Amino acid sequence: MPYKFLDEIGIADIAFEATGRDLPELFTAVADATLNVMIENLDAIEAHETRRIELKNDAIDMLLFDFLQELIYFKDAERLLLRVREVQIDEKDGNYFLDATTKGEPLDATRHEQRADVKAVTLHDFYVKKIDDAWKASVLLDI
Amino acid sequence: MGIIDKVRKVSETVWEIPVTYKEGMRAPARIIATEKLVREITAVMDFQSAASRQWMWA
Amino acid sequence: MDVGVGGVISPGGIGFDINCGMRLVITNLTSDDVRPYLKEIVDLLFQRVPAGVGSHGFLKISRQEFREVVEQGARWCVEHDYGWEEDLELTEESGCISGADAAKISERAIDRGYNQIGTLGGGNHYLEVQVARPEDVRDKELAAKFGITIPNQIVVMFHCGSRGFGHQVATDYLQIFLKVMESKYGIKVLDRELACAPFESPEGRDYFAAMKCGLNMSFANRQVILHRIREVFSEVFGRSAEDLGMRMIYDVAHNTAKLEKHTVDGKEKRLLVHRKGATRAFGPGQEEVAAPYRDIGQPVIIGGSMETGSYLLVGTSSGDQTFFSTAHGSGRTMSRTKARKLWHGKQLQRDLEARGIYIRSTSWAGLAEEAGAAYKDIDEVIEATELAGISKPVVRFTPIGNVKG
Repeated sequence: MPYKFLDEIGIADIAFEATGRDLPELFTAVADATLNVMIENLDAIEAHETRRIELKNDAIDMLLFDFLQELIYFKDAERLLLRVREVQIDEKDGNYFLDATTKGEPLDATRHEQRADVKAVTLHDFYVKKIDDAWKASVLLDI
Repeated sequence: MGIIDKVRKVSETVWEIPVTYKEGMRAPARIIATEKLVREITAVMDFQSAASRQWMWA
Repeated sequence: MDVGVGGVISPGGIGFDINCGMRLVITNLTSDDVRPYLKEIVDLLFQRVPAGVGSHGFLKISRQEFREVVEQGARWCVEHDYGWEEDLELTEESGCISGADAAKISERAIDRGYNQIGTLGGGNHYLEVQVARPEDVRDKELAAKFGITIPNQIVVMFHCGSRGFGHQVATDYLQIFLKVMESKYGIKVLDRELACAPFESPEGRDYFAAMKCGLNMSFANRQVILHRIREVFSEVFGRSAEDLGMRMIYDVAHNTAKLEKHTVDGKEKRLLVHRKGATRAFGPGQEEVAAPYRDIGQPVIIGGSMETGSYLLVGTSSGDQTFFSTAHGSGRTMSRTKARKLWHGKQLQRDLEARGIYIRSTSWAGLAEEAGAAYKDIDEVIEATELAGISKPVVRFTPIGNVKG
């Protein structure tokens, strides 16, 4: 798994670190980690519905923050559990542009093993950075 | 050395973390706890890196 | 924060779950009356009060009606027959804080919240059937004022908040504050989570009015849940909720910021008191305390873990040392990630059932994460607040049934 939950950081919350060879891989890993906080068996989520997400931000970490907010939004507004199918991130004139295709289905308590409801993404020690050849992110979710 | 060593005992149930503890603190943080609890609380804090939590906990 | 001299308001100092809070209701039943029906009661509560990830409630209202709910709080619910008139005076701010303005709310916040009234959510949210054992009544006279007079009397306590709505309000304003904090107001903080703006600024005032919508959503949420609890008990016992004496003791908010007058260095000041994970605990005589309790102090409801117990307390006059604030729960000592490695939900449920606590949960992992040993000792926490003089215990309650988010 390209993400790891941290034992000792978030006590009432849940913290994780994720990595990727490039930004699309990193964003996909962070999205899966966030969904994995809510649902244990990600493989049980079937791709019945599609949601396209397009975002723009001048900071890469806030682009990730906005992206996670979208996934949390669909979880509450439509009870949709979404996984990233394709994601493209471009940089142009000091702005980052994200175009993602996500697929999933509404939560079904008989098939999806629930864990915790994610309330929000906090900015506590939140970062996205490039270390050598890999991208790394640290996230603390409010539970 | 843990946070507990920097905590000043104000009374049996009031414990104070001075502003010198971390950069960015503008006021001392107070913890209302028994000695047993303050030891538990600071042990957890030792694992956490950021300064911000202290004022939230006080 | 002294709002008269540039004091700030901070979403991070209030928490994402605006007005996450506790409500406590009594019955005239004893544990002997309830034990034979406990499973039936808990199973029905589990059905009627949805819990878990992104859960939606039974109340089907339009976005426009939801805007009314967030401005009117529990009052909207009582006017729509989800509760009793007297519930309102037994709720902090009478269940409807003034100054809530739905014009300060994003469409996304409405989308996330309008389906969620009457739901518990997840994490540390729960609904418990508890017993007041005679040996756990710490102050008989005060307990009697709250209607706790029968040995082994049954009460119901629950903990939940403003759901996706409040979370989105906090997130929206956290982002707004980040944009203006330094560039417009010259405020620097080391942790972006503590982003803030002056209370007396357009952004600060907008957030205050939006946050109050979060407070009202939460009061409404708990009001509808109380209605469902009364329905369940009424169905199981074939008697009306009135006949079962299902009166509210109180509803307290955690995760708020309130404008209050406090004395600092001998001077009275108007302060914005942020209470994240804290309960307001005004002492006897203070005008903000609900009228029925003004002479004894504001009721404080503090939840322990699902295995141990919870408390009803009252605020004290010596609470001024903490700006009349006390604990809101026993607090974790171990991370969720670690707890789930140590315990297994199904096993925990069986162990607790053997100890006389029947639990239903939407999540086995979530159940393991809430194991009693992952929390501080509730009795020690209460002792600390009592010794420090910031609240006074009245009754300790022991859980026998639990619906966990």
